Amino acid sequence: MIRTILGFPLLLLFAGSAQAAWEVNLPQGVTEISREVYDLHMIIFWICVAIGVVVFGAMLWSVIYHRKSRGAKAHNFHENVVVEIIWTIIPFFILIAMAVPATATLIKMYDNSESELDIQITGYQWKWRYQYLGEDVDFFSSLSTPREQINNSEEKGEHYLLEVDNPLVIPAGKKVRFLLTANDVIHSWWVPELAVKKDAIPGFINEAWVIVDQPGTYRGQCAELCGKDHGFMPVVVEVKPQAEYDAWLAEVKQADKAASEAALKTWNLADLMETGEQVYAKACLACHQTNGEGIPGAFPALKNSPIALGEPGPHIDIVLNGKTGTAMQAYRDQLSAVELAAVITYERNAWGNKVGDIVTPAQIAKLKE
Amino acid sequence: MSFRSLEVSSEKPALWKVACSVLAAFFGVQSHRNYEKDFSSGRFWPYILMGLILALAFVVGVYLLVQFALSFSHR
Repeated sequence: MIRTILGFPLLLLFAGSAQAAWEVNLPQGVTEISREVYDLHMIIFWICVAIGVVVFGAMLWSVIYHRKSRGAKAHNFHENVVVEIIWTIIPFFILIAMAVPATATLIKMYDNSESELDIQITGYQWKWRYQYLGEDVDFFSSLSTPREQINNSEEKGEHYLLEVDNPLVIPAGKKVRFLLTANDVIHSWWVPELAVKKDAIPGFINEAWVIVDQPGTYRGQCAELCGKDHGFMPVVVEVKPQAEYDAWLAEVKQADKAASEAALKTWNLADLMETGEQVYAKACLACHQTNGEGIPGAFPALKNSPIALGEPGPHIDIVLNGKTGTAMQAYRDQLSAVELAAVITYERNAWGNKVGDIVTPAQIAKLKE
Repeated sequence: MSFRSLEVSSEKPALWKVACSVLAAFFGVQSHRNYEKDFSSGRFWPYILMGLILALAFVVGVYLLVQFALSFSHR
């Protein structure tokens, strides 16, 4: 019986080493810096363990072998300068010894020079924007986990809440510098495997850098409480070999070109409604909800709203430019002309809103210029 | 022991003794004997001045240490 009681927590402990979900230690990561940070963490951990063993060992030994029932008598004295100096100097040297390797790693970590690719990362409520400086590549990265999984009406996927529509793609083996800032409130860009966790602050630019040798997919989250959907703006970084990265870059530029051409073609109501529903799910649903009724007191309803049922002008204006003093953001840069036209058309014709008119991508494209 | 029972002398304390006392205060360990001696000297300003000078020296020392550490970075 006793063995079972004692054995169970032990089993759990050992299960921990086998299963990633039980991992409690710092991850080793995939960059030189992350491995150095891990090694530092372990060295300092073991120094703390050694100090703990010595201090608590001495204390327990004294408690046991010099207890009152053994006839121990307390020795009263006021000071002992030698002992006081020793117990001040020993921790001093331990701290200096720990500071030497830590300083070396910090100096490396903050050396943002000589980067081969610069990416500006901007935090938005609740998505990330990646701008490849000098490359004319600029896109938003938002959560792609379906709402059904979040609402427990569907089985949760493998990368539940850690998957996005457009991941950040970087080349392997290259020094990539991140310039972090935010558009609305403070966010924090955190990818444990890359040992990068930096605040993204409106009006400031923070720097961080990585060189990832192993191609792969690395996931993280926003690490600074930033509002309602703070837990729903993950970070996904895909590291690709140079050739694949170049191909990806060309593909993105091609897609951008195709999107601006699509704005010029003629769209019918059904196509716009279909695209609009997808855009709505990605950009609007978090606040205005699936049924378009919003959250009373926090986010206004679009169903039967005077803006969505009135003239298209004010409706287009609020979606493109947002509304100052509220959570309604400006979607001008966040969505393409087609997406904006589609979602505005959708809002005017969904949930029983039956305006019947079409806002065309060409119309929006002109406004975006 | 109260201050009144200490023999207060107006003799000027030796400079290196003041420095030692201030350094001991920085370090946080001082023997009671030296402490009593310091308080019997009856002088206040030598200790304050030495404290300010050594605090400034400490700041400069930390600055130089940082410069020394940074000189190892390859920039």
